[in-house]
Amino acid sequence: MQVQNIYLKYLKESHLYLGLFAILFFYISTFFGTITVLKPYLNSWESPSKHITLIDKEKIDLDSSINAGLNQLGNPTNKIKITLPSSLKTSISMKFGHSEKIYIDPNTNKILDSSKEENLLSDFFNQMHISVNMSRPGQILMGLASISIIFLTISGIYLWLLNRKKRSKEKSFWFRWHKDISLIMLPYIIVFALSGAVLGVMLLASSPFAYSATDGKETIMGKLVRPAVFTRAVKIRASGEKAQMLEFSKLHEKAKSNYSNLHIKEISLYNWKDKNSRIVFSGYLKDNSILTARVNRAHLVLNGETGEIVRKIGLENTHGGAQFLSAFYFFHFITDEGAIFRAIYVILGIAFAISLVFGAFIWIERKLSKLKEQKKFFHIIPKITTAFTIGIIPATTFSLFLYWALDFNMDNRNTWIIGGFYTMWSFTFLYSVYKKDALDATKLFMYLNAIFLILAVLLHGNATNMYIWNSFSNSIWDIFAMDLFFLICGVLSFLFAKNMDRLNFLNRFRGY
Amino acid sequence: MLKVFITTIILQVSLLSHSLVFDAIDNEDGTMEIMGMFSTGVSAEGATLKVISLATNKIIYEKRIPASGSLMVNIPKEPYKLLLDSGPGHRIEKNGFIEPIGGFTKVMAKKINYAFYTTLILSILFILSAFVLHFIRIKRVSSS
Repeated sequence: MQVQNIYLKYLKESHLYLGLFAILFFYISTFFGTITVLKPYLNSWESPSKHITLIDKEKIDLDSSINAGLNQLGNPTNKIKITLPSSLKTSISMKFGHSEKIYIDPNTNKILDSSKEENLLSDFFNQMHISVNMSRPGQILMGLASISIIFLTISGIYLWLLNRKKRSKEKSFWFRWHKDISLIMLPYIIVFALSGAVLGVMLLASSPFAYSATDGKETIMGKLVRPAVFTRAVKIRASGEKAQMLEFSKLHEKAKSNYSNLHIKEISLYNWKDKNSRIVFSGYLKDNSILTARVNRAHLVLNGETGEIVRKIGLENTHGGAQFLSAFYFFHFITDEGAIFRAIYVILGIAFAISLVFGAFIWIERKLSKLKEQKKFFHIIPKITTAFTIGIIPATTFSLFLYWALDFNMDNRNTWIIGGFYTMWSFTFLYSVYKKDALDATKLFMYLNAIFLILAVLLHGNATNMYIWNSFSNSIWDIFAMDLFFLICGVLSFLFAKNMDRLNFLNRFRGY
Repeated sequence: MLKVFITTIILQVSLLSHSLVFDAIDNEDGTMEIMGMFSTGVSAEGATLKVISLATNKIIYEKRIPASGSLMVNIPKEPYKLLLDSGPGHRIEKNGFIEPIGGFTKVMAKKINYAFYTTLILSILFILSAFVLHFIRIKRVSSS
């Protein structure tokens, strides 16, 4: 019995301290990951050239738009990739080889001027999500935090089952909510902790295996595994004999009629205008989007000259590993899913972030009660927690505000925006320490957040001539939705700050 | 099932090992060969190579990397940087280390990145002030 008690004590302690380490990184990752769920819409919102009306896919003039794109790219003939518009992206994008992408307005078939647009915000938020912007070390720390989350999940469930069996009731407010939310969120946590662990740690760990397996000839595992698992859609080389290609619209129609279950997302061209030309239509299967997401697309390969079917690749031709990975990617990246699915992920992300913070508060509450007994009221951990969890919100929205407040031609504009984010975040830490009560600091942060969000929406309208009422009247729904989302968040933030003193629930935070 | 799982994990890793790299070789005839590729060994065909003057900040040369993966470029007479651009997230730049025969004739324009230093100093100042404030408070409470 005594041994069991010691064992349990160690389990609880490791759950606590590993939890404190993991929270630090996983909260940041979850916070920015939740924003990254909206990445396709955020990309459009931050790129004035992509403020265009979503066109009915059936009405797209594929011939004019693709030919305009090919012309802009310098008429390449091989490895050309065309991404069709979807509910996530209103423009057609094209590239060849590893060129930068060009964008085409499917309404007018004109090339969009995106030369000064870099997806700065969405890329920065994504970087923060995967590595807290610390490159490889950050990625490893994030991976270790993810492994810790797996341990925390297992140990948390075990402790819960044990407590349940013993019918012991934990009275801590934070504990109850941390436990309840975490249990509800279990599938979500497992998906993200597993993928975070694999992406963060396995990345570094694979090289020695590749090195050892090839007697020191290769360190990149992908080179060894990729050919065995992925089916290459096109293997043929150019013949050197010129040929007249069929129109893109005709080939597209042929693909649709020959593979009705395929939802076409991309078109690739190989050996174009050659006797051995190939056009590949790829996308997900309408009846199985999970196993054909991102890395395991279904394909239909046609001859560009005759339109005859060369190859049809569905689930039956793909490797189990690729299918498993596809499902893995589907649940992490939700590549093809629209607004409703993404909204659910945003809500889940917020709930998980709250669960993580409540986990930290269990420790803070216990620690502070001891410190209060010793009449030592000031502890740095609650202040850091406030800056990390609440302070990061106005810091993030400050970068949105700066993005539209600063001139696009300004020198070092990107550095001002990213640097501004870190400066504001550091300021929130100072202010959290300055204010003895975290609730007072939180109030200012929420007011700042509201101001930055509302200003960002207004400045966005001013800079692009696309105010929220314009995007609504022109049916530019992705831009309208982002503006509306920011405004709602801003108003909620303002109302929260204004009514904080009246919310009895928040009195629990008093004194931290 | 175990095989599938292991393959998945290995694959997951392989898909991420994908960063842009490039190198330049002096041909010792006033030209240099610039090779662009990904860390996986795949040629960076299609990526745009820019040679930018560090004296004037203007683009001296701009061309897409062909299927061969390399380009022959005249070595500029002024200090320069090489930028290989394959779209957001795949952009790499290096200061040109190959000098023309007889060395550079122009001087590099000194440019201070005020944005970087201002935000860095402010951030450090805020964090340090927070810790100083915290320790002052602890001392006050302990002494009372």
